[in-house]
Amino acid sequence: MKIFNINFLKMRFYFKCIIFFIIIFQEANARPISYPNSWTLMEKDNWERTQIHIHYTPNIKNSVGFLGSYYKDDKSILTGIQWNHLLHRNNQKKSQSNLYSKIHVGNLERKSIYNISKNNNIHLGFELSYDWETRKYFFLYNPSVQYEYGENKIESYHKFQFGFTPYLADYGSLHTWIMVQLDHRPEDNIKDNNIIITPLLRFFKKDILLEIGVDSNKKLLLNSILRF
Amino acid sequence: MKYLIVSILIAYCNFSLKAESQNTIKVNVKGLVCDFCARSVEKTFGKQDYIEKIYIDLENGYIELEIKDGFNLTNNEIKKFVEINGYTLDSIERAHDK
Repeated sequence: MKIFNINFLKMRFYFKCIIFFIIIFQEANARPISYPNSWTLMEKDNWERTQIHIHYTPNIKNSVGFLGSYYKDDKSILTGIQWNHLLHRNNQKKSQSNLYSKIHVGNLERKSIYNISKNNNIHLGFELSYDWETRKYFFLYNPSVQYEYGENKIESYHKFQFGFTPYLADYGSLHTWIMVQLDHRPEDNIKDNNIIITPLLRFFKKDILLEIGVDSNKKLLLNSILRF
Repeated sequence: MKYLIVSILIAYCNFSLKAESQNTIKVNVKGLVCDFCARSVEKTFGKQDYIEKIYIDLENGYIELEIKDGFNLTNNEIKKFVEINGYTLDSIERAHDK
């Protein structure tokens, strides 16, 4: 994981941007994360990390659960809790969209070179996720800011997804989406990671969703969601 | 004998029509576009003892509920179930309304 030193003014700028997006998108639309009294297991694997998030949804506005991430670059491990909150929703006859926030607090365990010592830091993350969807098209925008307390370091990134379905499947059938994901990481020292484009396929049937793709650095992306 | 058979057939047809008209409810819902999200509706309604069958039509945005004989589901109850799943109720059509 790449974490970068930035000054306090820059940090304030990011938080102002997030507030701005909240105000803008609260006028837009939203959708629920999961259904009441259900569990969701989300797995994410890409060039940067392997992540598991298991959460419980008591109602359509909130879900809380465990977050575990393994960062492949420096082999650091994040364990914490995450709270997802639906900020705003608007249902239309032919579309649905949502805006929700994700906040996590956890411990980031860093190992020194040659694993001589370990360093534990408090890790905070704040994300917004806005999506809009019809039966044929999908759009998502996901800005994120993450802060490591012990190192006084902050990182940010933006994720965009655009997708369409080549056919309209009935309820209960296999749904297939052709999508493109764009990750913008302006502060990453590695130039190839500043903008990463990932064409991917999304499949879902009943309570299982699977995303598979290969990014512009030829690294595999494999995400899955299971609801129960 | 002929009259008896005709009477039985008429009575059967009337009963079938009556059963269908009383027990089928079409719920038009806003926001019902995603299969993965619409599972919630099926799960919530499916837990209720009085639901015989659920049919979801994503293309036209409606849920069709078949209620068991002897049970009733009020419009307020339907609205509550739709809203706790994050959708917006558009309208409710009962077969006898037609």
